[in-house]
Amino acid sequence: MIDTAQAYENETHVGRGIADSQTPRDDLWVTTKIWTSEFKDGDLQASLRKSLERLDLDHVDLVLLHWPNKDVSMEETFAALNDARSKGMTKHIGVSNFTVEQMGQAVKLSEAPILTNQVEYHPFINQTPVLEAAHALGMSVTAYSPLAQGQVFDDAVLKEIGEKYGKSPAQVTVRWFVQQPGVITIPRSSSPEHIAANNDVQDFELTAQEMGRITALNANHKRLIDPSWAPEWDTAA
Amino acid sequence: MTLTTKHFGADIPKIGFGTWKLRDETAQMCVAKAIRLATG
Repeated sequence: MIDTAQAYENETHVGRGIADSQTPRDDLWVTTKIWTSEFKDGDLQASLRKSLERLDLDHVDLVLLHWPNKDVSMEETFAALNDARSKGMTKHIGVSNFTVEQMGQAVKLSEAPILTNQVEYHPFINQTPVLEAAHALGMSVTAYSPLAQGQVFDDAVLKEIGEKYGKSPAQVTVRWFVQQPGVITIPRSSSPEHIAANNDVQDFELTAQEMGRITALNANHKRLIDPSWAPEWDTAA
Repeated sequence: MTLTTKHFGADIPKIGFGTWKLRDETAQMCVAKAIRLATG
């Protein structure tokens, strides 16, 4: 699965990378995200069409609303998103950086299922409210910044568990995500070696105790991505 | 083998490749590499 966004300004080169891989389209999952300035009916569909042109694809598998936008009604935006889906521009739709309340509103307003909410999620942030709400709604949660912008490499618990399995703290973290039901993770690296390592997590399994130790690292609840346009985040009880 | 999670009939890969902050030829090279690893 490849995750991009209009705001990343890399869709053209992501599309070239997809072409370079010479992989059949049906074997790929491509996700992009609509920027908040394009949430009005008509604007959204036109901007997604431009994304498809940049990606050199006739459809994506999933398109997300990148952030909530209180200046455009959710009714209008979800009508536009569903229209884009009905026109075949995307197979599925979802959201990103939505609060629990906004997730519920999205599900009520959307004709098509909301497949995922992509949020900041790593061992040092408590996302229990979003995880519980997504589970209740049948949605998945996609974890961005899953390696906490490299901070996992310095964590003593992740290092210790990794030594037991001959794995890096990053690989332990990716494995921790893999073992959580309904959770997807999208680690990023510009190093071919690290990209390979992040995928090399299927030959070991964390114990329930190890899963719990990693989850407990969120006690200090560290949020790394909190721009001025962010919603009022949910906090764990 | 690709690990997936199923939601509303869609099998979504559990490990993807994020491209935030990757630009130009670096993004292109990394995407191709990530796809080959995931599908190879």
